[in-house]
Amino acid sequence: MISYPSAFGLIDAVQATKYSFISVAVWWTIFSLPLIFFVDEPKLHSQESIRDSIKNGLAQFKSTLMI
Amino acid sequence: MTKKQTYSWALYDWANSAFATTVMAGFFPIFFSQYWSNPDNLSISTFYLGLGNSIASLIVALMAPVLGAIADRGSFKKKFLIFFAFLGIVMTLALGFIAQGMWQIALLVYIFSTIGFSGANIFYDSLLPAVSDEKKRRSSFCTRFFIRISWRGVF
Repeated sequence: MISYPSAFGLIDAVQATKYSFISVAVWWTIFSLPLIFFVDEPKLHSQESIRDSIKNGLAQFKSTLMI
Repeated sequence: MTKKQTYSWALYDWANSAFATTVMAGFFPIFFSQYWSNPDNLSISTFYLGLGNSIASLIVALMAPVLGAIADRGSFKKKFLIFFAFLGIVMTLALGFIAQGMWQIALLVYIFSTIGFSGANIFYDSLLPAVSDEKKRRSSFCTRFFIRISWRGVF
């Protein structure tokens, strides 16, 4: 695509490179969809609210460092 | 845990390998020095590229343990994965629309896209127990399939 921009209907290597960035975003999105829809996260802890998670998570992080 | 979930999980590596190869290893460094920065000042643009990579790594390194603990507590792994992947995807998309000479913006967007990529990887890895069998985690179908597909995605 970068080496032969005209083969893809693109003007030059600059435009081809920009399209390659965009194509990465598209590729990344498409192949993330199966994970988003089908993978279930196991609920290991009794699930805490966001507020409690942040509070306890930070406490856990601190106690990890204190050893 | 079903085979479908294992495949779905492994496909994410196939998905983000496009970023690792095309953006990080491939075109961003070249495009940054030749198009967004001044091509005559290679040493300066290389310095800023290194600085950008360091900043992104540092931010991820500082965030990772804290966010990991929080994600464990509230079962937010998948949510955090989606958040960081979304950040990476949007920032990668934005790279396609930055005009010539705007190296500051390009670098900033690149830093955020790398944070998204690396941050998502943390929570992606942490989801492995959700898609693998505890007893045969070493030579399971999942492991073999993961190794196969991640490198196939690169090439």
